[in-house]
Amino acid sequence: MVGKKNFGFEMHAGRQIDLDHADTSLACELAEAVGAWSACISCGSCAATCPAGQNGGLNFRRLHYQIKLSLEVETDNYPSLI
Amino acid sequence: MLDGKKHRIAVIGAGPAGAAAAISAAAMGMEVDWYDKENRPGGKLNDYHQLFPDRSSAEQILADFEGRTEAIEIKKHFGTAVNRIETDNRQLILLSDNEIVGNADSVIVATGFDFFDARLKEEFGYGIYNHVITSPDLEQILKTNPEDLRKEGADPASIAFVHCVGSRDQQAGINYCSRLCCITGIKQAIEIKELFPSCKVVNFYIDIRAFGSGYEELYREAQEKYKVQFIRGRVSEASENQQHRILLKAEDTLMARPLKLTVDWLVLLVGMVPSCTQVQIDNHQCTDQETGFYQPVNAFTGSRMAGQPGIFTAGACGGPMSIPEATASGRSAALEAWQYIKDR
Repeated sequence: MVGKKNFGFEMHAGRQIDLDHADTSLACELAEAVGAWSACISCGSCAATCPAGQNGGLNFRRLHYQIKLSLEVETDNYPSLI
Repeated sequence: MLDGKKHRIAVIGAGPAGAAAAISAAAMGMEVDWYDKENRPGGKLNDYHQLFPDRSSAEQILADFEGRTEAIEIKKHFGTAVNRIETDNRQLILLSDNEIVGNADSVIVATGFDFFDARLKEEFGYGIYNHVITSPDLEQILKTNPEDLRKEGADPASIAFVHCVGSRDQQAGINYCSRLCCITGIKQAIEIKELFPSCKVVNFYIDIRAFGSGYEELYREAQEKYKVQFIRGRVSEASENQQHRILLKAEDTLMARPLKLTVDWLVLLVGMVPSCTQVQIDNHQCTDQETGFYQPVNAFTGSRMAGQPGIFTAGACGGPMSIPEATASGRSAALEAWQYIKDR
């Protein structure tokens, strides 16, 4: 049922990435702890062959990048991580 | 000296390619006349701070070239802008504004390149906002006074680099890749992090083209050691806020999401374009119609220019080129000129 209450309009969370307020401390910690963290060049080969990605939508490249930019991780795609 | 007779070669341009050509030609026994429109040798090397990938001092490399050109007999004609070459009975006549300034059996043209005029990309605000500068501007600041990057005595909080300004840009009429802007941006980002470790440094790129020896290693070092952030996406527009900081809007194309970032300085990594002081050769079309750079008759087999025989290109007047590539092409052109004179 569309828009009886809100006339078809609704508020969305902003999609813009705000790099001014990005907290990259987790990414820095991970980079210190896991040597391979910084080696990622976003080629996507991890995501291409990951069975969890084929069936559950896990995308490790995207997850890595989201943490790097301090974005909210889309937990819907990662039920096993919650 | 060939057959007991001294043969004359003219080298036009005193940048790295011209210097390498002049040194090599003199070492092969030719009489060398060396021209440049400026009053000193070195070309753009005079304006650089450090060279990639090993961060050699540009001043040191320049001093090395100067030492080698002083140690060998080369006639210098600096402050003379050769802008035309004519042929007269197998002699090549060099003219500056219709006045004959010399003649030679063979000529090496090494007139270099210009940087793309960033004002043509209005969306970045170069020439409008004081804190939008180009990569050669930053090189000059790093060389002369890096303190100029501080704002009211404080370290800059953030600096962004935009790759491909005047490269791979059909709107600007430049379809080719200048190849060296990527590694320049990586090197300059590292220099900024060394000067101001707490500064956030972000590079906006389309593709990183780190093609040369040691370039990829520097790209990795920038990320792993210096924490330089690389965002895939070209900045769409830059505007200044009331604090005179630059607000950038871009799309992070890996996330397919719009992005904003406010920076203290925006550095535009400008591409290489043909020099405005190209030499005209007997009314011949010697340049590539699309790029405007000099075109050899056959790039696979040598550097002889289209038009008159005996004229060769060296360095970035033939297309974007690094300094080691330019010096190698200068040496190679000197050898080709020597062979031409010997065989004619």
